[in-house]
Amino acid sequence: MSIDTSKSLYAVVFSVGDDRYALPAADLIEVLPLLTLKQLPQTPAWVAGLLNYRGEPVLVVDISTLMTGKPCRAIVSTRILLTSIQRRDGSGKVLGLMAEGVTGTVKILPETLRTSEIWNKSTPYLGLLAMHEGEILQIIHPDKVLTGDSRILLELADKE
Amino acid sequence: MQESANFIAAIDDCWNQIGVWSNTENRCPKLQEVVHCRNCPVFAASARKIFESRSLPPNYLEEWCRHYAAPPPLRRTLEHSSVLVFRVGHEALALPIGVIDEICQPEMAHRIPHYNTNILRGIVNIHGQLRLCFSMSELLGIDDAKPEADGKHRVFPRMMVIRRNESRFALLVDEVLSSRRYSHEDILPVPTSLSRALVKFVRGILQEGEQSIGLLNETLLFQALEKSLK
Repeated sequence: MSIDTSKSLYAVVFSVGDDRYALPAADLIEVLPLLTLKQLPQTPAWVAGLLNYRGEPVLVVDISTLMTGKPCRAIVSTRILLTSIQRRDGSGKVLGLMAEGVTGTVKILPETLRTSEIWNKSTPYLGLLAMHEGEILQIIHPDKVLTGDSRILLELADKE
Repeated sequence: MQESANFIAAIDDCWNQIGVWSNTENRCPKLQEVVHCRNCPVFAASARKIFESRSLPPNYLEEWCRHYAAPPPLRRTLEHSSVLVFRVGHEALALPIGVIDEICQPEMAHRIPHYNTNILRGIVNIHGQLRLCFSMSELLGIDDAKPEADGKHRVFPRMMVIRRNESRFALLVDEVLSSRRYSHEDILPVPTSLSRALVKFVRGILQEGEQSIGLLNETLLFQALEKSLK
């Protein structure tokens, strides 16, 4: 989902290492607490597992492992952000992002948004920077978290 | 657990050292601005740090896993209606929110000569407009006895102004309780134990805990009020 930079943006903030990131609230379905996940063998380390969400399997990605290689700690502020992403055929799909330090939302004003001017092919999910109250928040695009080959993983969580 | 205790010990508790919970003379200069530590961003940031690093309580993962694995709570798609619940004598009754114009303090009704029915109490002045004022207990044939006062619960008698098209009437009730939403499948049949005068006006029962609320038919109520004037 692209961001309308002329309007203020509400976002859920989380931490990866010492840095703070923002997930636009418009992309969010629900915030879940940390819970037991079914492990998926032979998948990359950043695949946290499968979640039973109201009887449907949902793939959960550990965003901290994906970005820094260090998994989220098992603490109360680690939560699972359920986001809606689009599949190639255009249909919607739920993806869970596990992140630490999920304690609130912020309102990001359009005039605080800056481009990072650094484009890294391996991190397409990193978006604009927001200069928010003295700290830098980087916006995350959940639909770009799984790209290329890793998108195949999505089909894993599908029923036959 | 040990880890989190160490973590809390490592936090600079300036509020105990130089803040409002200290005994020192030299207090934090920020207090000039924020007055109390609980308004201070430093205090809030420390609280957030402690909260963010709390370890999981036992069975936390399993309990939430069970909670979200269960099918979602049934979402009622049926149309909802809202009613205002009030009390007359011992009976809890309800009228659709849409017919309620206003709720105000009861006023002394000015009696109308030659209209000496108990149902019509007289005329009241509401914001400079004269309205006919009716006693709900008389109209519905409800025994006026008040429920026994339990000492904890104060009772405020009220006057409800109801409106349909251009006719507005003031009704005296013993208490206005709450508003409530219901869907049509919540309506239970009217029990035969209701008094005959009341059973005419009640089109169904809403159950809330131990309390049965009589859902009044507003059309019949307006008709009865108009008829009592003739």
